[in-house]
Amino acid sequence: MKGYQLIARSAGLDRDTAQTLCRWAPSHSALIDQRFDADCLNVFPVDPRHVAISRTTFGGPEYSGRGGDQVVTLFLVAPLEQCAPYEFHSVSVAETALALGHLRLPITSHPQLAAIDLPTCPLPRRKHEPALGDSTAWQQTVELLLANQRVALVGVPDPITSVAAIIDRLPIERRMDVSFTTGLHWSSRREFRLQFLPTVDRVLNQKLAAQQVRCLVPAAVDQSLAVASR
Amino acid sequence: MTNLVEFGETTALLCACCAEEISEQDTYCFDCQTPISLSRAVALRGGSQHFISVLGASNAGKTVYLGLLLDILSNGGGPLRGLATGAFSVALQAQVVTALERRMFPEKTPAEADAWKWLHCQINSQDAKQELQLDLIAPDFAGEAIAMEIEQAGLFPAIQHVVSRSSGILILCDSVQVRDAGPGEDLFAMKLASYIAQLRAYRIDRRRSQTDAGPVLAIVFTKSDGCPEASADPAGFAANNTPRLLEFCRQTFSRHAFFAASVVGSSGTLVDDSGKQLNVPFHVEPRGVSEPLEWIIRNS
Repeated sequence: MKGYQLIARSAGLDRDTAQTLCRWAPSHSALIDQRFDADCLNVFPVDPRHVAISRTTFGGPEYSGRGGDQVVTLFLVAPLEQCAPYEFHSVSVAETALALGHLRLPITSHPQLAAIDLPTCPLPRRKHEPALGDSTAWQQTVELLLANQRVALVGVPDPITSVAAIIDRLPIERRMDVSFTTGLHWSSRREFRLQFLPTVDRVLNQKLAAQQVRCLVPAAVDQSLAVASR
Repeated sequence: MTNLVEFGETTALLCACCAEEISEQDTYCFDCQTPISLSRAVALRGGSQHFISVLGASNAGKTVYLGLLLDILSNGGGPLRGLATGAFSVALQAQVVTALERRMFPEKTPAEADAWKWLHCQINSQDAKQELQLDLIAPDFAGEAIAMEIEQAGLFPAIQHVVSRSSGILILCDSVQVRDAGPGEDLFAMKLASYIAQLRAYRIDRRRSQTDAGPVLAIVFTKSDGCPEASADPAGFAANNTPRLLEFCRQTFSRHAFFAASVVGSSGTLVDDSGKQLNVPFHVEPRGVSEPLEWIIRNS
């Protein structure tokens, strides 16, 4: 029936994995960016040996005529050892998958998906630099993540580039420990270690504090906001 | 049930839904994502709380039904009068009434439990002969979450806890879909009723010393402005269009009844040049909204 979130899967995904995906899957209005071509990247652990790399985007009008667009998420569930050639860099895995045509909205949906093959070596990629030149916030973010803290970065203009840069700075063996989303609204149901938020009001700040999430506003963003308010 | 547990000089708060210990600094229960504001309101009021579950498939009309139900109760025109116990409870009413005033239906309820709105109100009887005062708690679950919970029990603990504790349950079925879209709605409603029965049977099994007559079940055919046959004879409509559900209820629930309800007098569909459809209410004309609750209260 319409309304179920997990509408297609490939063979080899068991019930527990499906349940985990449903738990982390965003639903209606979860994307922060409401433009029709908006998307975001999400990475989270499925179990101790697998990681889910997903892309969330809009998939057309909401089917029940209540306004808004469908939020569609495409998951790639990978064994951790297969990410080793990618130096456990989830953004690198995602970029390779996207370049090969995966994690893209299909024209037609089919309940049975095929397993995919990724190359044993990743596409050539350049070392990412943060969207902002200030390295203090990024270093502080890395330190907090290495201390197993949860972090929300506020007001960062290019989250995907920024998260890639942060992962570049993590030791290889710790990279897959960091779950993140580059563009979903905060939810207590999705305990991402790293999250990017455009703004944080008092209510959201209280919710983040209750979940022990550290809010950081990179200094360059802070200065640009101060300039705008004059 | 009291929601406050005393440990020495410290008083801890219990979640109103799952009874887990929660901190005043939290915003949601860690286990079931029930808002702390609800648990706090329940603890302050004390006394017994009555849960009412409003269940149904996605787009059955749960949000509109609950929001307008509180609006009708707060206006006090019928046998029952309802007063919201806190600002959080008015949020659902405000969302629905504001949307309808703008000739729109509210957007789909997200499946994330921390996005759900909870209705907590004090119900009083308007009948001078019958004294009635009770607190009602009714969460606005997302239909997709209900569907997922039926398929994989435990995915949404709040649903399980509330259904287990509900003295009355409303199952909402889109009457137009029931009539026009084949047996899908009947089958889903039957799955939902089976889930309820299984959950309650489990609880009866664990509490052998207690008798449980089972929940009072009201099946409400919504959007009956577009389905006059449901309005005219809800039980007959059920017999003709949801025979599986009807038979299951007869065999399982000793107290059940069928109703029809609508919120708008008429509605239409706007379609843009990209094919995007938007349902539009033309005017608000509630019918049969409070009757299922009145019946549940009389029979529970």
